[in-house]
Amino acid sequence: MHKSSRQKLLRIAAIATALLAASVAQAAEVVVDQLNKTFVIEGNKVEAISINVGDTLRFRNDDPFFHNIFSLSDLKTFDLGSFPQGQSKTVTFDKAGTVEVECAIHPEMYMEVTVK
Amino acid sequence: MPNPRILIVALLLTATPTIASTQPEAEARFERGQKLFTTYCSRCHGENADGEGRMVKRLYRRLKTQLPSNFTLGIYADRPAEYLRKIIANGGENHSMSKYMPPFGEELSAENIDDLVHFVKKAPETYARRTDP
Repeated sequence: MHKSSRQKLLRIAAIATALLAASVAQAAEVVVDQLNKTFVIEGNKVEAISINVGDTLRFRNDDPFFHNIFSLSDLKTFDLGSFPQGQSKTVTFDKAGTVEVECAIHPEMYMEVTVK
Repeated sequence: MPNPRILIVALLLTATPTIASTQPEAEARFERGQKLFTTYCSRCHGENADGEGRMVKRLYRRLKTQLPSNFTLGIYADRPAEYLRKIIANGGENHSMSKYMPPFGEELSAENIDDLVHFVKKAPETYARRTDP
């Protein structure tokens, strides 16, 4: 391969790596506490939140009993299982749209996640 | 020696109130169990207890994981009540069943769980009766 072409390719690869690193750095992790059978972010009860594509939600059980996290939304279908106090589970949202998050043990727990 | 006819009549008279009082109680227990089942269990085990809930169609088949039990099958009516109680209270994973079956022992009272067990054990005859022509 010609030297100038190789340098060009290396430059493109460096830019791509930098862009990838930047996008990874922008992806945030939001901690959602499960407290008193509600979803809580930074001490405030939430029923709807907005995040960006690539962001991760960390569901942390702060109640002295088991919680569960699942979603049957078209955009993101998952079941993170059940976990006791002190443990947490994460899920990353990689597409834009709306996801409804629920707890299988406590039917009253519901949160809508808008992914932009 | 007492007259056998009188003995039979006496037995019937004492047995009738017992039957009359337990029948509505069993029906009430079934209704309570059915309501709890709809709220907590039908998402996986299906509205008709046939193991075909929304979670199965949307997720568990794709994950190729152990599927929720079909309670319309007679085998569940024969399971010991204590065994069913433990699975509901402790979750599936603690009893070599699905890790997706949550533990409900902290959410439901012992009476709630008894009602659910009663419903599960009655499910085969109930749903078979409903689907008969």
